[in-house]
Amino acid sequence: MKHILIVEDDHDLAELWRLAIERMGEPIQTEDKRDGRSAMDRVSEPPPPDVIILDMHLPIVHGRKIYQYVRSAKHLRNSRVVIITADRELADELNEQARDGTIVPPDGLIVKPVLVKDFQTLIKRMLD
Amino acid sequence: MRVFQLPDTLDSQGRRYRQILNVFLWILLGTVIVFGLIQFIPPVNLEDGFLYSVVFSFAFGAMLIVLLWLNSRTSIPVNIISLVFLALLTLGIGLSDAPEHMVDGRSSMVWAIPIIISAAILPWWGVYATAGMGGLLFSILTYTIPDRLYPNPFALFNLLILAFLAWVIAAIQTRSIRDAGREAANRQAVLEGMSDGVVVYDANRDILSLNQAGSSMADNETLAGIVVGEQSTYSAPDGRVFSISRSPVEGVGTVAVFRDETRRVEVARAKDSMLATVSHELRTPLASISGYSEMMRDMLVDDPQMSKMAGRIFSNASRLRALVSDLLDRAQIEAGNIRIRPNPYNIRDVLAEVDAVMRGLAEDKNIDLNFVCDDSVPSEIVGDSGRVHQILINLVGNAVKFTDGGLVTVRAVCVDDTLLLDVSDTGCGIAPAHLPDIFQPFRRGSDYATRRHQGVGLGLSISKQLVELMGGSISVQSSVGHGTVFQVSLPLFIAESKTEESTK
Repeated sequence: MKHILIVEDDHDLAELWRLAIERMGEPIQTEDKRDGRSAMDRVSEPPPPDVIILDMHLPIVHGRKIYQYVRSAKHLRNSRVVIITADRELADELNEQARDGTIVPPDGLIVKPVLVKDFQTLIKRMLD
Repeated sequence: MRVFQLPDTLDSQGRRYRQILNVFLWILLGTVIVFGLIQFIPPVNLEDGFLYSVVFSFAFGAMLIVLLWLNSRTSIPVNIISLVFLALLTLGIGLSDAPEHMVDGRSSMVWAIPIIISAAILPWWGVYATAGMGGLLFSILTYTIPDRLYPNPFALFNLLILAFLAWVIAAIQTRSIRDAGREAANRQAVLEGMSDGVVVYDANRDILSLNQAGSSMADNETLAGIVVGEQSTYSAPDGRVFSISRSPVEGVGTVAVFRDETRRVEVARAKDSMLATVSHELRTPLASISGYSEMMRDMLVDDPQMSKMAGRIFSNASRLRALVSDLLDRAQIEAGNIRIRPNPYNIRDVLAEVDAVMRGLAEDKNIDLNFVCDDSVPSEIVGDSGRVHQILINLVGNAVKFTDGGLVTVRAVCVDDTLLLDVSDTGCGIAPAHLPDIFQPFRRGSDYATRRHQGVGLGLSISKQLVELMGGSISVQSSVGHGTVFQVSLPLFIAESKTEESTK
């Protein structure tokens, strides 16, 4: 069974992503974290999630820090990361940094709001 | 420093008299020195009045020097010095020849000299006082001549007429100076009262004058550096922001006006930041509304009515999302925060993406949507593909919105160093009267009044600004009832091929 970690501070959105994943009709186990600290604690411990859906503006620890950690941690090298943010400027910046080679490009980048249909397509691709 | 200021006060009028008196004193002193020296030109005739002339010159010159010194002392009223000077001059003239020559004939005209001078260095009464002194000496001299019982009344009357004429000329002159002074003072008051800094500098780039607001912006040296520079804004150390406009003034130099934009900039900044924050904060709840309604629409297939309602919530959330994006774009363009991020891309991919987004909408309205990419367009060009995508979505979105059952064509072609993107439709068209403001924010051609179509009309203004940021231009041609063509022209940058890059 595939394992997806949803890191999203907005309760309704976290629930939406969970529902959208469930509706895909595949055997997927989801787990969610609401702030940067608990997300960090979770990813530093095994088992590594197959996909991490990562919001950027998170309480306590910024999503960026978590992303850096995930990309540097050996035990998470097989985890795929989908960054999801409402901050379009930040998304542009990440895209540019990924192009410049300053950061490892995320496996997926979504700017909220997004169509559930598109979200599901992306997650499906991540799991293949 | 201040050219705007001209004298109007009594004090400054006194200063003017003092300056003119000084000029007369120096001229006379020079004349006396030359006259004195001439006496020594050989052969020197010691008998014939030599001593008299030398002593006269020496004494008169000494008195002039004393007067010059007195005139430099501002504590002594200038009118008294002027009167003493005129008395001496009258005396000098009266004694310059034998009395019978001085009171008769043409030589008597020299009496006019002190009277005319007095008009320039004394107030209105000066001319009569000097004429009086002249008349007194004239009479005394007359009585020294044997057999003359009384002075020539016509000569005395002449002096009076002269005094009157000199007074008229002096009065006219004084009045015009005073009027000019008042006008200048008014102008100065206006300039000083302005919140804008006004700096005048000449062709040598030296500051000629500046007003109060101008001098409060920076010290003169800094200011001189700014005004002659090219910069159009200036941020003062105290945090104020000024816009600078320079205009040449013939015969003077250049006037630089510093407009205080601090408040405007602050307000604009606050507005942009608020708009950006609000737009960003709107996206999170919008994501929930849009996401849940989308899922409800798809899940409620068994209940068509509920599904339809959920679909309405979803499509309205989508509209709101588009509006928020437009508002944020506009705020960022206005704030100058938007960045063009060039990267190598294929315009064919962008056209395909736009096609995918727009096809459903076009089919709903029975529109034939065509995308044509000419072979002249290289497969890899450099530009901000995201922004090109956004512009095309805007233009194609508009074309679809204003066309009912027709044709919308997007054509990409390269001409010389330009990439041309044409978006044409067979829709309702735009009336010529509305074409000029079609790119203005919140304007939507004639359709604006009818509100038949959705949107606030930000798309075109954003597209125009984005195109301009990318160094291109956008134009429109339209005829009512036949359709509209928008043409975007962007400078063409061809990406370096991979092989070229690897050989570097």
